Amino acid sequence: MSVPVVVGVSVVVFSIIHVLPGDPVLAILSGANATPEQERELRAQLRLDDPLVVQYVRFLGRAVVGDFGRSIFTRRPVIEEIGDQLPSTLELAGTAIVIAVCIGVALGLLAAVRHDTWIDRAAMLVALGGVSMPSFWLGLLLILIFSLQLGWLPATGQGGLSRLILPAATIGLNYSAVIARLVRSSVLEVLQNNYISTARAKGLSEWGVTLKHALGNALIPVTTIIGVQLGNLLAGTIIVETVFSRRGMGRLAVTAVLDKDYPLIQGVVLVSALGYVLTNLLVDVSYSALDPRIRHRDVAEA
Amino acid sequence: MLSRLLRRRKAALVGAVVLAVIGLTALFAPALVPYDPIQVKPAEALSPPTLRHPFGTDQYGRDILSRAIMGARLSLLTGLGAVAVALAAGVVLGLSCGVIGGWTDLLVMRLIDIMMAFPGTLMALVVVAVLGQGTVNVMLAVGVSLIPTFVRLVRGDVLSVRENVYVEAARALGCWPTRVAVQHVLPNVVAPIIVLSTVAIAWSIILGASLSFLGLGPRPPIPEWGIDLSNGRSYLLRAWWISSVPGFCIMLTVVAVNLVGDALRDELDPRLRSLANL
Amino acid sequence: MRTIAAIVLLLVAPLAAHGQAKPGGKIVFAARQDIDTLDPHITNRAATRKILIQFMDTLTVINPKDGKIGPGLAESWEVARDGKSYTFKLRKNVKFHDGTPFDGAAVKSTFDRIQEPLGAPGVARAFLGPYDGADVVDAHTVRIRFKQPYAPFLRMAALSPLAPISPTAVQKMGQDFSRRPVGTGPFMVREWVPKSHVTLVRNPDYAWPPASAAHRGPAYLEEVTWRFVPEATTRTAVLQTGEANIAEDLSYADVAALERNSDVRILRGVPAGTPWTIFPNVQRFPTNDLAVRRALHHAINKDAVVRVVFHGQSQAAGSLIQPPTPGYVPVAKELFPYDPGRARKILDDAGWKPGTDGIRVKDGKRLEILWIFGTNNGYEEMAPLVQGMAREVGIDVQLREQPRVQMYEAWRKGEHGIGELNWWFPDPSILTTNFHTSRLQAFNPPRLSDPEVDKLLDQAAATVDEGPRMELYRKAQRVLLEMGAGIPLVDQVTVVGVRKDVSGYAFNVVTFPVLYDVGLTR
Repeated sequence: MSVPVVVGVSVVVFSIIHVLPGDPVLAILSGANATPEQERELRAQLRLDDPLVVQYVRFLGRAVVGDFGRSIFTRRPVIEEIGDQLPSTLELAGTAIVIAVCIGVALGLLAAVRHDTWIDRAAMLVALGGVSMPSFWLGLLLILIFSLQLGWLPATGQGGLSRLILPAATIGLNYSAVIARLVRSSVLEVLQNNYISTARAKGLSEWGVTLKHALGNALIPVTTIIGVQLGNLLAGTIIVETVFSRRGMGRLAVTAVLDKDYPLIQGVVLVSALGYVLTNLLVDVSYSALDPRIRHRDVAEA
Repeated sequence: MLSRLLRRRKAALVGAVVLAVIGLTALFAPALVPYDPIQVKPAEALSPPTLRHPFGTDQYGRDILSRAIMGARLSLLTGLGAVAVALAAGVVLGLSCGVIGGWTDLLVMRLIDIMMAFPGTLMALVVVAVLGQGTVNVMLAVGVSLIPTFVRLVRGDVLSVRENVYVEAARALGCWPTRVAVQHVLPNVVAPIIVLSTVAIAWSIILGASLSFLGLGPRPPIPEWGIDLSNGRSYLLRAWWISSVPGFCIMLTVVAVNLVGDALRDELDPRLRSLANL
Repeated sequence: MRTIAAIVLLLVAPLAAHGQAKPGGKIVFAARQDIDTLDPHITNRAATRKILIQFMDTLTVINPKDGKIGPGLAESWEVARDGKSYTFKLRKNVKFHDGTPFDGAAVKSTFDRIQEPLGAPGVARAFLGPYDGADVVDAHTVRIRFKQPYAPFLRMAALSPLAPISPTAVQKMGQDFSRRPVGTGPFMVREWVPKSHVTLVRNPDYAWPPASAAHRGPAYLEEVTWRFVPEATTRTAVLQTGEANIAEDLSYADVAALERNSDVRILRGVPAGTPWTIFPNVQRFPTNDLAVRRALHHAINKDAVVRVVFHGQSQAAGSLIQPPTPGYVPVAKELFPYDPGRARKILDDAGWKPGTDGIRVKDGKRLEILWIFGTNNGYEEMAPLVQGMAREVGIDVQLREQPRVQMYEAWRKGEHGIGELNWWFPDPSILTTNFHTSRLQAFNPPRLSDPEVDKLLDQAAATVDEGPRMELYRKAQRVLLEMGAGIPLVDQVTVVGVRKDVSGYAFNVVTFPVLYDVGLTR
């Protein structure tokens, strides 16, 4: 199932260069007092005159070995540019997922256990607040509060957990709402099921019951969501990396689009799409590990 | 059980009232604004909230209350427009997949799988870069990024409805697939579509604001919450009210839409909890 | 409002008044813009040029105090009478960071590299002008030849894109040269982490600072982390928390509050170059109408722009070049005072009559001008204000924001009604870049092709004697303003914040930072 998707993705990525407005050769030469000969020379080098199929096959052949060409602006191989940025984004996204899961599970659990009380509603409202703030605004407010006013955490750069917390929390808060609601409804469902009553009859404490069975029930939808949301999570880094001056794929993507750096756009889009396919493959595999009963469940339907 | 529903509805009621107020404000905005939201008055720049300007003025001396009122129009329009794009594509493609099945289904679903692989914001970014800046283009960009979710939802529901006896019967009687789709299947999948649409509106408003932050939003001087929030951000330390007011408007709308969406979901179809993934 | 004199005074002295610098220490510099490359011959961005001058030395150096051209890596020079060749006597015992000795061959190979067909789409080639070739006369003498007279060259030679680079490093490193370029300057590039920072370390062998520097020998600082912090609010925050020791291009809105902060000093400098300027497209309707261009100029209240957007930190622009640029003459103030009444009359007289919505109409066509402005180009706050002022006299300025690459493309196709551009540049020959027919393919935002202007600019470029040359540029400024080819708005002012423990911060002639004399006092 992943193979046709990957092929399709490669076709889309290849065609970017032919769909975007403007002439890439002129874009490369913009700002320079280029002569027509120079333009012709560059055109010949990029071989934009070949038939599209030939260009696609060449593109695919190179992409397979990780060669996306060179960035128009930095003159470096695109794969190196991405290699520089990817670890930072993975680190950010990973931490953000952890934060989102922690906050989401805590709020969801709290809301479910104290179901229909003001605690329930407050928890859900907090979760909703996190998702309803545009992330650049949330990020700037976090900087002003935790960095400028309280002086607890640095606002920019990489390296160490302290520089990771604020940007990861910005993304994490945005995604915790989804998880909180899932956990809440999963737990509620379990609480109303019979086997809990059975367990209760056996004399287990309420919290023990909740944690053991309810969280087990919430595990699968939460895993699914993390897979489905990964694309959005990566996109969230586009904004957050700019606000917190972190390096990463998001900033690379914005620069590439604004500069019309075609090889770079292609590389970034392809790598994010592959990342998505890969993650969902992993999520698929993890289902059987989490619950053998639903080995055949279709992710797409979840 | 009954009391729970009622209390649920109480939250929904609050949400609905807030939405109604915002909607009416947007509708009658030109009559409601105390000042011209576009005219620049350098002499009145950066006024903090006063009786004259209850929400203060921005760096150009424009009344923020007036811009917030006027901005409701475009912000809601962006959300609604984007959802309309996704809805149209989603219903047509989803219905065709579900009702016709076979190769159509396989082909469209593969295309949707491919679309899913591109992160929404990245896709919107590229679409705006292709089409250029502007309100309609932002709508299209956000709408396109929502299409896969809609198609999958509609198709999934159609497949489950199709199992029903009366649809089988209609097919057995030799009805055209389109007729089956429109007469029998569509009415049964309306509820989940409504629920998804509410959530998608909220998402569109946020995504639209993010595009404004990246410099790809609607054109100035049109008042719009996202672009006003983005413009005011360099004044956070000097004049917090410039960005806080549009930011709060966005939050309020998104929260209200979600409250209503939640209640709708519980009312119309409790099975839909996985929709929370938007 | 601050006067020019006061600002220039600030620019003058390397700001060392606050305590004595101790050798050693590391600082963080919060920069606004990301860089495209570190290759001086490829770059198109001022952001890169700001880093280049930290690790490269130029042949000549312009003293920011008086604008005089002094020796750099060249000890002395002779200019041919016809302005077509320059002979430089080079400094001896200078070494590149990789140990390669600096000599005439290095200068020649640097300039030849700029001319390589696909090697240099950057500004370097524009700066090098009609370069023809170089002759190595002896190890420490080199003659640069031009196809046409090129009088601005001595000032161009002070720009970092033309600074000599190590020929052996270029050969050995190939494409990687753009990541860790090798010059002769007081700092060396240790690493560039794209989208994050550049780390510069002290060059321990450095012994050839220009005469304008405040000390001799190696730089004080051991290490500089040049971090890219694009958000203005974030830059202000890191300066206040001490996460950065220096932050450039602070939001004008934050300056007043920062000045009350006793941990921070605010420094201002006026760069040579061109002011914040908009250029009406003279070839496209309706800005092809001289009356429209002149009316627009009268309609803009520049003082209000200074107040609103710059919070009083700058002043209304007086000409198409900045005050510290040689040849500057503030004719715009006298030619185009803010006068909406006059603007309306000019439009009335030209047949533009107010329509129902207040926007003027002529022959059934609305007075609509499309301003395509570049993303993050610095005009996004000015644009709505100019738009509002134009509306007052019945001109509808429509704004469209586009990524800069697309903006330049629109210029080449002439699709814009208004384009914006400003330069950091030490010589009035920048007027050629903005207005000469030969630059229609690159820059020349007004799409101007005027024989009289071309002749004036060509003549100036060919006049070696500075006196008559500046006279020609003074005339050009008046002619260009009168024909409405450019509307200068506000003078550029560079605002930098430094922490109290930083001493010796200085601006160069285009207000790029000079970190050689910077030290920490604690």
